[in-house]
Amino acid sequence: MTGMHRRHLLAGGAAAIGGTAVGWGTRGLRSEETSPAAVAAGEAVTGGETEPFHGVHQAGVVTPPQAHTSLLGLDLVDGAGTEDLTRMMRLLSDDAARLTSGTGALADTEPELAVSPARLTVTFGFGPRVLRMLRPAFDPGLQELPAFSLDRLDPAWGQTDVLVQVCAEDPVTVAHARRMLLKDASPFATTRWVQEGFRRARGTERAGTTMRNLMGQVDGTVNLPVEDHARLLWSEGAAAAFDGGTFLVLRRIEMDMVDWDRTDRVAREFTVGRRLSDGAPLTGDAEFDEPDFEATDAVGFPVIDPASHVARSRSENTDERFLRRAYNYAMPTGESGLLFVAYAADVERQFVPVQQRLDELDLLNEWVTTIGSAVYAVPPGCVEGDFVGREMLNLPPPTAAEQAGAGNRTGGRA
Amino acid sequence: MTRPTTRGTARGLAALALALLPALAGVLALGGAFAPAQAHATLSSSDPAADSSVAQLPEEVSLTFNQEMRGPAYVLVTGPDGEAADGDPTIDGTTVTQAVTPGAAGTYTIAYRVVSADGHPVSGEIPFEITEGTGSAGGSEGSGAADGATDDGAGDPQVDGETIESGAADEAAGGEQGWWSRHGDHVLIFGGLFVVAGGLLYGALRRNPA
Amino acid sequence: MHLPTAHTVLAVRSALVVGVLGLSTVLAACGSSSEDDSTPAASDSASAEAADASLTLVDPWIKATAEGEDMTAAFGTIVNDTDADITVVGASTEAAGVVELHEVVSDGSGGMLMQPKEGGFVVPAGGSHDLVAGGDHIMLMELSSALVSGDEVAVSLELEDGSTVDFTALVKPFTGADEEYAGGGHGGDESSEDHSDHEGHEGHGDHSGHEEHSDQ
Repeated sequence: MTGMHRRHLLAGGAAAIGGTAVGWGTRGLRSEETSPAAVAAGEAVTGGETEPFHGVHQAGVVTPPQAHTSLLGLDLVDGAGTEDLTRMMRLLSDDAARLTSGTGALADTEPELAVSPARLTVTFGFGPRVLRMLRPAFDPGLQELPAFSLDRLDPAWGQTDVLVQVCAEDPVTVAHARRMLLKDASPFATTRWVQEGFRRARGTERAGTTMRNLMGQVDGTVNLPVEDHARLLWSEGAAAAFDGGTFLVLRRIEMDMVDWDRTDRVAREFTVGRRLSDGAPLTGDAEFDEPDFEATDAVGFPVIDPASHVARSRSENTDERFLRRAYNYAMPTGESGLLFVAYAADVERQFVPVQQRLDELDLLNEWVTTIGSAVYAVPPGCVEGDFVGREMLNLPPPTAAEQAGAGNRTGGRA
Repeated sequence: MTRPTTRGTARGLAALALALLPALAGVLALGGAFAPAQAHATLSSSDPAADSSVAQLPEEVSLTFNQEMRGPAYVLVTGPDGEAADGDPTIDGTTVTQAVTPGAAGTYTIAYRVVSADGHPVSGEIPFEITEGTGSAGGSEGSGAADGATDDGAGDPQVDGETIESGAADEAAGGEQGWWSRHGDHVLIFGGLFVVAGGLLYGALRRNPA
Repeated sequence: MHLPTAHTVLAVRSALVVGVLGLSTVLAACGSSSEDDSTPAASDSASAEAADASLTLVDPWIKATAEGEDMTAAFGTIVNDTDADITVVGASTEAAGVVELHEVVSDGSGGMLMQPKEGGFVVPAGGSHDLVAGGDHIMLMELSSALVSGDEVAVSLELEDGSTVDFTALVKPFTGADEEYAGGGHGGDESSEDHSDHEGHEGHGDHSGHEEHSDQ
């Protein structure tokens, strides 16, 4: 781990996840002081709060989740190559740097909409096809996810070449940033999908409260603590120009709310293994109590059923964990579900085994179906004046010797 | 004449039930999914039936519910020789079937938990007696018994205790059912308590409607 | 308040330094004899003030050309940190054969007309001058090649005292300001009806008044 990494974790990362309440508290103060708007007494205006765009890692990963997200799935136009992607990333990074700081983008036709960044983050990821384009100079070892038997994938929500994750506390900020980014991406890429998601509005709950999904469940209690980020979140040594990067798994999980309506609380809690009221395991008193999979009920069967979601998603192998940063979605047409977003340093090792277990058996499967699935390599962050992905896009072609070495390494990972 | 007796009996039963109430409440609290489940799917019948006496353990026990069951299902059949269930239960509509290995005479209990079509776990226990069982040594069909008692074991004692035990051990090594072997005691203690207390309370209330 | 970014380029009155900023595809137009003081990080206005800098082009960008187009325009904000008015009298770039300073004025019949600005752009002392679509801008004509979104183009401003100010502009996709080049004509022959329609639609009247600001 480099000095920069460590410094970042201490300065930003730790506050971002571990000390969520503290982080938000200080930002809140700052915003109140600087907010130019006339504010009713006691009403805090927080739209001026910013999350830094530049850094060792991209923002929007360990950043405490904002209330709104817009995930943009882009496909490079036919014939687009590394140079085009470079141009696009230069433009989009510039937009992101400006918008996240509360300034209109260059050529922003509505710069007034940019003045309240509301903790805006813009995070970029490259899909497998882009990575194939960059091989062999750049190869972080990302594989497409294996097929899962219960998935019912719709290409309309499928893998794209580029992902842009836009998050902010305010939906107008998100909408403006999305429009600006899509305008600047338009010469290079087409938009396959936009997946919008939301959590509780800022201030509705105490900061750091685990989100609830639209089935009413406390969702995301088990998350990756900051002390595991170096090992299980950030890539280190996997590929040149990728240290400080990570991988993103996006799963669009549709919920069968009609059938869920027919399912009462006993069945719901049994299905998940947690109480609906507070997310405590059925064997515990509070949300963060460790589930006791040995505890038995009156007849002698385990209180937390071995087929429950909690039991099936749990692994003895502590490597099979990842950072979860999900959002709810609800379409005007009635469909709703979860935008499952997970970050991991190694998708194959950390995420796939968990998903395979759930695919084999999980009581929750009766009500949830994954209809969209994609993976992305999330490059490390960039410094001021630079753009995300530059290093990997501008790598010189490897020498024959390097190529042989890279081949060995990739083989080892597969 | 019978009145004082009846009243006395009822009072005694009520007192016993009251004494057991804390235990009953504890049982209900422990098995949170337990009581409410009755409002959804319930067990309609079983073979062997609850509290029945049959000469020999059948090749399989079956549980029939009042609605379609989905699973997963867990069925334990515990007898004098320990666990008699052999392999995983199968679900067919409203019926759950569990193959068993024939065993000695004595008290048996079927403990089950099955998830119904509406997502509810339905669980309970069914005690019954085996009056004859597989008393005599027969031994030679041991492997057949372990495969799920392919021969007609009823009234034809062939499998001794040792064979049954080795069959159970195989099962445990097989994985899924191993957990249940370790927790058989709980099944008997808690389940029995529940059934006794529930039965007493029910009886008391019925005899002495306030 | 301007945040220092890649495209906020300081200008030094007569030093001819291109702010390279570590970016890869700068078109080095003006023989960037970047000497001792070409530290890449010195790209914010703070250091510009510290030096004998006088004029800065903040947030410069150029509208990407559509297929077949051979002209476009550069925009941004010229900031004057000195105590005296400064007049920009011209501009040049290797990317274009002809570069003119333009203004947009009313054509007297409800439309807007683009024309070379007499006397150039006057940037007031301690103030700034906006170059915007629909207002004053730098017109690039007879382009040597298409200007593609995401490219960076080096441009030089010429001041009335003969010195120059260099900056690097990011090429951006932009659908506004199309009308300025409609029909391929320029300057005198801009009188088509759909031209004026566009002007009204784009609301350029709002912008054309942005002549001079005393602050940011």
